[in-house]
Amino acid sequence: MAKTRRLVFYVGSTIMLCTVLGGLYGQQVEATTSDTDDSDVQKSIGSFAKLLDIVEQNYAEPVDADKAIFGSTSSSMGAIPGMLRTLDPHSSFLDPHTFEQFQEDQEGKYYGVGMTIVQLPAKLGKLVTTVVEPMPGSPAFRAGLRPGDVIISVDKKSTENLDVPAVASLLKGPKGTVVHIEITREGTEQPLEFDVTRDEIGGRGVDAAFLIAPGLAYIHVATFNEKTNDELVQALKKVNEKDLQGMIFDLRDNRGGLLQEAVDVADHFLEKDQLIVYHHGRNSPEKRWKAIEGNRGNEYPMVVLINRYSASAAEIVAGALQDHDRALVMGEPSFGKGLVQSEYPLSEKAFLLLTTARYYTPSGRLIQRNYQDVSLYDYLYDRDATLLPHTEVKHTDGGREVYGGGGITPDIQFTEPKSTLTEEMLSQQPVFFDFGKHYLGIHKTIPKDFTASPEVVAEFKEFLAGEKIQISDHDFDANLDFIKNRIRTQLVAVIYGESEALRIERQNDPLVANASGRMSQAAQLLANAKKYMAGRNQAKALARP
Amino acid sequence: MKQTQRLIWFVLSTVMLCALLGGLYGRIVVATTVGDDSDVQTSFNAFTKVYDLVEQNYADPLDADNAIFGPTDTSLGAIPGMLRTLDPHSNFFDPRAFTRMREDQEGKYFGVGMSIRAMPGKLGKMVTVVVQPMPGSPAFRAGIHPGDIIVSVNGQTTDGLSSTDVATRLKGPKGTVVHFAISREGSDKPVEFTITRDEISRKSVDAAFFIRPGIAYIRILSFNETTNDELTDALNQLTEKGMQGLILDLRGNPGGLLNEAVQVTDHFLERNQLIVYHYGRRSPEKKYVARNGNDGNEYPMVVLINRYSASAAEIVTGALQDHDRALVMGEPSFGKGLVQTVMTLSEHTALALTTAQYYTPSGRWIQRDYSDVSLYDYYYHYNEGPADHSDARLTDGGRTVYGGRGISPDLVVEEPKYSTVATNLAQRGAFFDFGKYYLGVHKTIPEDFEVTDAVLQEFKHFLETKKIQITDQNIKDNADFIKRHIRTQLVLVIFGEDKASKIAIDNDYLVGKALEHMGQARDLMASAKKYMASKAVN
Repeated sequence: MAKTRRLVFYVGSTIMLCTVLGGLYGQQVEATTSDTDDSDVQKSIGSFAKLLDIVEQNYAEPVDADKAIFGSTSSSMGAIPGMLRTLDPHSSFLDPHTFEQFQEDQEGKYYGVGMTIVQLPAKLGKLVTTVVEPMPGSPAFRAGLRPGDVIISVDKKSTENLDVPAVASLLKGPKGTVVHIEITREGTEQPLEFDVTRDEIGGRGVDAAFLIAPGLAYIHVATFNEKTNDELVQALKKVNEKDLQGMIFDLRDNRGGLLQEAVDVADHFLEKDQLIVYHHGRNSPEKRWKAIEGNRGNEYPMVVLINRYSASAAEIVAGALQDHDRALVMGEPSFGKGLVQSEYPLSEKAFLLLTTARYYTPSGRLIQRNYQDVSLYDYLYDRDATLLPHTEVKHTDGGREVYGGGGITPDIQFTEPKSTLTEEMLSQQPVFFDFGKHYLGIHKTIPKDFTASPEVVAEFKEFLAGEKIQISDHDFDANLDFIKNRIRTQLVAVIYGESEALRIERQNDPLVANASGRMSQAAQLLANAKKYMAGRNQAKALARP
Repeated sequence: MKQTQRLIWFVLSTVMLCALLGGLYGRIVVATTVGDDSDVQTSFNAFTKVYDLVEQNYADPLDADNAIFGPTDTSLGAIPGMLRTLDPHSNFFDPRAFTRMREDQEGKYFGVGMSIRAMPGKLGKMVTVVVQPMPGSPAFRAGIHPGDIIVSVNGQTTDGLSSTDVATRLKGPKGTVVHFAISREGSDKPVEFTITRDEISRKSVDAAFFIRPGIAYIRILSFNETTNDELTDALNQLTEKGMQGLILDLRGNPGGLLNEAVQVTDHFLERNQLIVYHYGRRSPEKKYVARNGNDGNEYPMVVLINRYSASAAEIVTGALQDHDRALVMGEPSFGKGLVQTVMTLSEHTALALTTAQYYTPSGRWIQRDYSDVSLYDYYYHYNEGPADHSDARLTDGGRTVYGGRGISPDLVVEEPKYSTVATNLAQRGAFFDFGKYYLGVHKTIPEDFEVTDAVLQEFKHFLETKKIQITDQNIKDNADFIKRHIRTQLVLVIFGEDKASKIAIDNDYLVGKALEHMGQARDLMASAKKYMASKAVN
């Protein structure tokens, strides 16, 4: 039976995936009837058959058999989802709609025009579909679509009353086909029309890579999809890896993805043959993953950043670099997902993701958080309620203590400062986005070294008044830095692109700033570990007769 | 294949049941493989395939029972998951839930006969406290007191157990013994008891008395196998003493057995009047009519309902409303119009499957909308938004009534809201604790006991020792409430449950309103008769 089997990591509402592992799970058998002689199992399936039959024959209304077994998209009900929920929070069933999204995320690509869209309230309070950003180099970018453009129709179909996914699916289509887009733009009276040829669009795994200071690289990996490792290779070239004095490797908000990609990514930073991760399950034999290429002597100091949303594949990378003392880990404890799923196609478009193994970091830590007697909601969103005290202690190469059972605990804990009420209020509305459109409508462009001068700030204040957004002078002054930064990044994003804006934003990020000053500490960590291991090896050699 | 089939009404967490209806559902077929419906076959095969994959490949050993039936008291598992796609009232009963359901149905169980509840103890920890031993029960005869704290059952500590868990441990087959230890105010060491379990019956008609000369009050808590017998006894006694009006209280009644609801209604209607009818896809129409009728007893009636009155309670109310037999007062009822049949699957498990919909005599279907509604919203956020009045029907007297969202009372009367201070005191068990303290000091109370200002002062001092902050103004503002609760609590301990609940009913706001509207209830019936007579003439 020729079937594609994939090993996946899947967390939260974002759907993640892994690589093809043909043959690894040779013990798995697929059958359409239960051919096992386990009598418990036989009895249970018999009870289910009996019950289904009673329901089919006697229910007050006709039974929707499909819904009864598979459940509906909107709920977790149905026989299969109900059964899977008794297992663990990561075994799940994908209906056709979720499956499509899942595949796009896995492959890190789809066919479309390449722009991010969002729904924003327009002048009359009605929601309109607005372009956030055409991706640099994409068909939309080349056709001249701009951030802030309001999409009014796609292929002559009005976008009124359509939500974002509906508009997005209108924009997508086979490679090489043409889509007709009608937009309105501030400062232009008549709607503008574009014919855009669809092409392959890459969802970026590495979405930021630049030198944040001379010799200091900053790389953010957003997800582990099929292209992530290739993108990392490009990114390392771009920042001139050979000449680096240090690196900030940001895995915050990275919910995981493909195991193979996580292994390949970790491989770049470890020595050849160092263990990266291993996993096993009841019917899944142990498999060990080691650095095949290795770092080729590139031993610049590294700081890895994580937060509560960093999960699965991201935790594999952070765990391996921590256990080998290769990087200093900073931020918040990570999510804590140590279960591996395999993917089983059930029909053309329905998939089963089943937990088949647990993975362990090189020191032997299982980082899975407790999920017994915890509601799915609390498990996914109220992590603090489900964290248990550290029960498992392991040691890094350098002899430091690390803990299993509740995600990766950072070497240096750093909680991001909470945003002020004014910041939240301003961020909830498209104020900066709208001001950007307004400002550029008048001033047309900005110089590359633009900063929000007092004149610009005054213009912004006036704009707020015009929009009937009330902020007291005191609140305004107290949040002046925030306001100036946001105006700057917004304008830079429109004129010089999202990546330039991102660089500015990250320079202002408190954790990134803190990490920049810790390169010598990271270097010390690696040096200590080497010394410790050399000492241990020497002791071992001496102990030999 | 011998199979017991029962028709049930099931609402909230209380599990209700009905009479044996052997033969009515003769078409139920039970097989160990699914039928030849190809859609069902295809879906079943898909399920088997997934189940097989899980069984063979899951990271841990598979708990087959858990996977199919789900852990106790959750809606997880294949069967509960499937049933959730049908409607909120189709349910699977595991052995534990099944036992509870059977006890509720039969209105009796084997145990020691006391009500218990969880309350915060001295150290802030929850403890299991005896609320009241039932008069005449083994617990009562053994000398268990209200306020005793159960510290262990059969040598096992009750620490960390819910009151349901403790209750389960106290129950057991008739004639067996249970050992338990209690701690009691005033004694240093735990007191040990060994009690032989006996049959304990729970009344469903828990109050029946004259609340005013000639005006009777009857409360039905649920419809179980003994409800009609209890009601018949109560009505006989009250009629003998010259009943001239009746308040029938169905507030908080979650329903129960269809047959009992029918028999209860029968007492109040004329012979051959329709009570209820039901049918479903595979369940032929069945009509229930009054067989005995009211024998000409046409005293005015007021029926009280609230948002927790459901299913069987709504059948009774709906029938009395549609025939203009009673004035209905209170809040709109829950709105459950589905009939379940209970099928025993094995010795200790059962399926309650919705097999039909029922309709009131005027043809109303009173089921609330449950499509695209979470189970939580279904039970706790109902009757929001404007009512749908598309299903309008006429009563015998020509009044308009509506289907779709429970029974709407003829007179909507909201229960008075108590102040936060009052609710807080009740929730913290302040009256319960004060009762123990007061009787520790004064030993007993006279039958005509009234809460004087001196007692109120004692209550205030007691609260201070318990570190519950309360001002004189708070006490003054809530004086009626506080006095009534202190009195009820003391009467409960000294004179028993019947006397205590009488005080509560006497002071009930809605009961007071019902008394004021007895005349209107009489007019309703009279004008309906006139209307029907005029229709008959025309």
